[in-house]
Amino acid sequence: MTQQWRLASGGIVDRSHPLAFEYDGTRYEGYAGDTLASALLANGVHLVGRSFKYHRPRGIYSAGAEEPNALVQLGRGARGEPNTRATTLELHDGLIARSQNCWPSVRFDAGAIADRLSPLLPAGFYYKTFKWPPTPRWWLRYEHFIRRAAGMGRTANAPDPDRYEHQYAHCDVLVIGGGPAGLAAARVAANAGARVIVCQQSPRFGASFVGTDATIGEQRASDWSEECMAELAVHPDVALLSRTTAFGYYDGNLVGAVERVTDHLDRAPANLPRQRMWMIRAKAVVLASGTIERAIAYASNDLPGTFLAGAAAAYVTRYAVRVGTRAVVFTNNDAAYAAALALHGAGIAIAAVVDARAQSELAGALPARARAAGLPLLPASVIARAHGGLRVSRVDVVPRAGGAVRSFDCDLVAVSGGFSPAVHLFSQARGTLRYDESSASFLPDASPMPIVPAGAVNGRCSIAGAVGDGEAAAQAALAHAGIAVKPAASRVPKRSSSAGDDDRVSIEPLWAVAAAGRAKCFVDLQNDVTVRDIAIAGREGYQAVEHLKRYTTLGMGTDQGKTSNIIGLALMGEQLDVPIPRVGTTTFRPPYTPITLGALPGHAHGAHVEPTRRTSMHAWHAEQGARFVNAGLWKRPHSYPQAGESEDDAALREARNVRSNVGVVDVSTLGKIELAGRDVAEFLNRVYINRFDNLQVGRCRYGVMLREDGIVRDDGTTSRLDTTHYLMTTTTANAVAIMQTIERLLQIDWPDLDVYATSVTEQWAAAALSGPKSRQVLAALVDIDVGNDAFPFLGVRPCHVRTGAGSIPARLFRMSYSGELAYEIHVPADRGRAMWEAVLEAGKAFGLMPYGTEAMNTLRVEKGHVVIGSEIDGRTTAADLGMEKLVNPDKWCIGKPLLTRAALNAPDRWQLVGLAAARGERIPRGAKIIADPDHALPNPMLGHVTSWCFSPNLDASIALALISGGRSRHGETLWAVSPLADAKVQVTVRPAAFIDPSGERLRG
Amino acid sequence: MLLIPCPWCGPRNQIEFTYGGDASVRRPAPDAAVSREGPPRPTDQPPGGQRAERAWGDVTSVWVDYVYLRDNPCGPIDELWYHGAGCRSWLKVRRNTRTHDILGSAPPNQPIAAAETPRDGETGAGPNPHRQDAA
Repeated sequence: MTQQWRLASGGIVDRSHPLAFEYDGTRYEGYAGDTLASALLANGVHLVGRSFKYHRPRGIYSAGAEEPNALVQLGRGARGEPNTRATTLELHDGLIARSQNCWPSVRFDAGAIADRLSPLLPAGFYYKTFKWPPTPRWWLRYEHFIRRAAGMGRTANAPDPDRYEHQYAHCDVLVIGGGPAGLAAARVAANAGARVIVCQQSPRFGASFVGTDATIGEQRASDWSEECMAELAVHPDVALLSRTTAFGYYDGNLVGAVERVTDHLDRAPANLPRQRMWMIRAKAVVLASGTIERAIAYASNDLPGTFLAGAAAAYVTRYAVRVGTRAVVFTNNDAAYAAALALHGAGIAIAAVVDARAQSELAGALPARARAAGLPLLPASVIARAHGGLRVSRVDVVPRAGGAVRSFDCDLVAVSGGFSPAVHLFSQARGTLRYDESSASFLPDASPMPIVPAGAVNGRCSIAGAVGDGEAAAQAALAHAGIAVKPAASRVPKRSSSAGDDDRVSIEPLWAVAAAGRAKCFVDLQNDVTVRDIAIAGREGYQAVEHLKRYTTLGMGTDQGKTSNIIGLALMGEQLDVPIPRVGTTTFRPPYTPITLGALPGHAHGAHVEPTRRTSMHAWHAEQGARFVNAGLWKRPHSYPQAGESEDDAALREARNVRSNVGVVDVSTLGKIELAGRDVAEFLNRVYINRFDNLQVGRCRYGVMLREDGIVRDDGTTSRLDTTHYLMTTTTANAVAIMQTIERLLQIDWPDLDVYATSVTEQWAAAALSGPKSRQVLAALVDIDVGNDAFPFLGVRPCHVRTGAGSIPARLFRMSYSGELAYEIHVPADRGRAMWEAVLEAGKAFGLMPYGTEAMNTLRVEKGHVVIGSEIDGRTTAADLGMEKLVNPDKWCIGKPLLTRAALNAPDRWQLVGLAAARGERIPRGAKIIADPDHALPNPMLGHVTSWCFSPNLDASIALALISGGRSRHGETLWAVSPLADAKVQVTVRPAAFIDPSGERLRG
Repeated sequence: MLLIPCPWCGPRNQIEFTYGGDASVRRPAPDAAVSREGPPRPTDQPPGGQRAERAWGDVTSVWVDYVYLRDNPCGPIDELWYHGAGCRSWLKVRRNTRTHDILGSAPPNQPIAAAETPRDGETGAGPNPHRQDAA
């Protein structure tokens, strides 16, 4: 028989819809509407886990997000999820969960030895013990065991197979919380015509009314909430988000929320994400987040069967579960009497209502009702100790004034130490808190942001008070949002006379009951922090509240001390004899409850972390089997291996073919910026180290840009297309940053210059045709004379590329990166592939081969050309790179003033050189350069290899390197060493250009 | 995430912008001397009051100040932002470094209009209208 603890009627569960689930290998049944916790309780399962430090048996403690104990391992494999709160986990068919932190089983747990050893494990024992002996080696040994012993569930080891979405939303009023205050606020805001979003953590709005006989005015509260929902549903500008937790408040009134879209379904529709993260930009926020009940610490207050009083009542009324047979209620306030009455109403015997307050304090309506119902009240008494093994079986009650101990047999203890407003988001909105003596709680005080607390979180605990407060909060929020407010008639009488509508909280603070001996009185159940631990921290000087937290771990973990923090800081206040407000609270950091990591990136994972940029010729490269490498966001072909050929061999073949015949490479990714205006020449003079004012129309020139501090930033060519029209190219990596700098210079520094800049990187596809036969290929391809006289080196011409399907307008540039006779052809991007195929067709007769970035790199290393990221590494000056002659002495440019610093002109600066190894030797990649490999350590480093390749044209391993005083070392023999690769190779220092140093090939 | 009021596009998410640093820093004139002229900048004043000579090798110039030295005020500061994912304009934004409040914005070479008194200003606390209602 299953669900033997389920009541015959009542609650939100759907008895016509049973659900099967598995917990710790046993199959159980629950109903739709259950949480895992309520379903387990309906089956009589109270013991659900072992505690973090002492491995003590623990049971379900709360009925909400504040749960410290009932954390379960959910699912299996890649979908395994640790530390899931059973109290908020909606039951679905086929759900699988396990208890955590226990071995071999939750009933018999070997780790429980820690409880016996607990005198050895006081607060801070970790810090005191594992620093000896004081060497990191010992810590590494300890760490292995500590990490195994600590921690709760296990994370999945496989990638998350689920899908997550992000949703931005904007609204006038965001209402956080779907209880009485939240619904009332939403209704007022919606009726005023505002755009409203309402977030509700649990599946149902107004769930707190279910099973209660609460009324609002003359109306039943559950009817009132249904009326509200129906009214809100017809507003087109109202979004009602259930299963949505507002977890953080950020700058500019941005609230982050996670909506659990399909977690509660056994089979999720394929079109829906698992969770959806909302980023809601609200003009004003109404925070109606309610309160969280807290406990009272007494000896063995952690035994399974111990509940927060409100939670015990919720299981009875909301989920129709009999959570015990015989209960003791322990309280310091009136609210627990409502819970006692609810338990009583469900047929649970009330052994005693133990109230810490004096008889004279028990004059409220609720104690009176309890008395009338015949519940045995024990005023001015406390529970001194609970007894039991895997479940509470008996409690000892003593009068506060002293006297005989009375024991009560029970299997349920319902505790209430008062209520803590859920001020987390208010505090994150820079809101200050004030300590309210009458309710013994921190209430919202003031925030500079438009966030308005309403209802219980604002100290308005009665339903009618919360509704009225919600309506008033909506008015304030509408004013923040700039929406005219009609003074609407409240649906609720301003002051109801009925007792339940009294906002005054009758409470007398009681945080802990002093315990004798070694008994443990738990403050923080999740982290096993006891009253004694707080005292130790205080004695040892960890008195500031943030120190207390770190030293004892109070308030850490998945629940962040929602039920315990204030107890710990109140006890610290008692110890230090300072009032609670002076102790203060720890910072309320987001997230409010743990959120799935997958929800944070949303779609932005894997290939979607950043955009992918493809050139017009990408598909062709892919069809040839090219492997792509990342160049910034671009994909560029590495090489084009032929059948049976390795990528490296392919790159060598491609590089050799450029020097002997002709090759073509896709260079569309280069940054391209068009500049137009009367003052472009002056502008270029200011941003490049070399002159551009004497550049003729139809010519291009290599230029180098510096940072403000004189270090080389970027290089590229700039062409003069017409008198006032230029095309600048930048490196692929820097294209965006250079464009941004140009905008900054033109908009801020030199608005007087008549220059317009437009990025055209994407508008043009480009191919570089390179090799001794490139002119012959070109002659067959374009409609202009490409002879050396008609189109000399560094010339620029408009032309047309002939293709089988008509001609393509193009820009032709004669420039060379490889060191060979070379041209670049730029065509409109949509004609890129047609141009590319036309080039290949025209080159067939000349042995043309496409080449990739690997061959391109080999060619430029052979030529001694520098590249950004390797030689231009953020530390080199133009002189370091051998380009000091480019720095025009007669004009100013960005970065030039600071180039005069002595350190940038020292003779021992690292300078660009070439390195050649003996035939058959290989210079190790990334090698360091030293003079003497046998030198005692540390061996002075002279420099390092910046670029490296095997040169197919020299048949040798060559490299570019930056070496201290490098240019005065030409001819020296040094060593390139890589201790990691255990390699050392003798190298000869030489000028960087290995091939055609005088540049005859590219001019010929 | 900040909500940055672009003078051209209106309030937009911070992710559309790139930070550009202190808006009051201006590049010295091209012919600015290498040796220091004028009074020391406030940042050169150590708490004791006596100005320590910084060791910058042979260069103690306005150029070094321009490239390397930045003020780090507590309170409002005018900063440059670039609306790269929007209108591609640079703009000037006044931000309170203590509260992260944005107090106004303008095109880069125009003054920021005296923004209405910020809700927070310097104190980090202001009245909560709702609390008055509750009182």
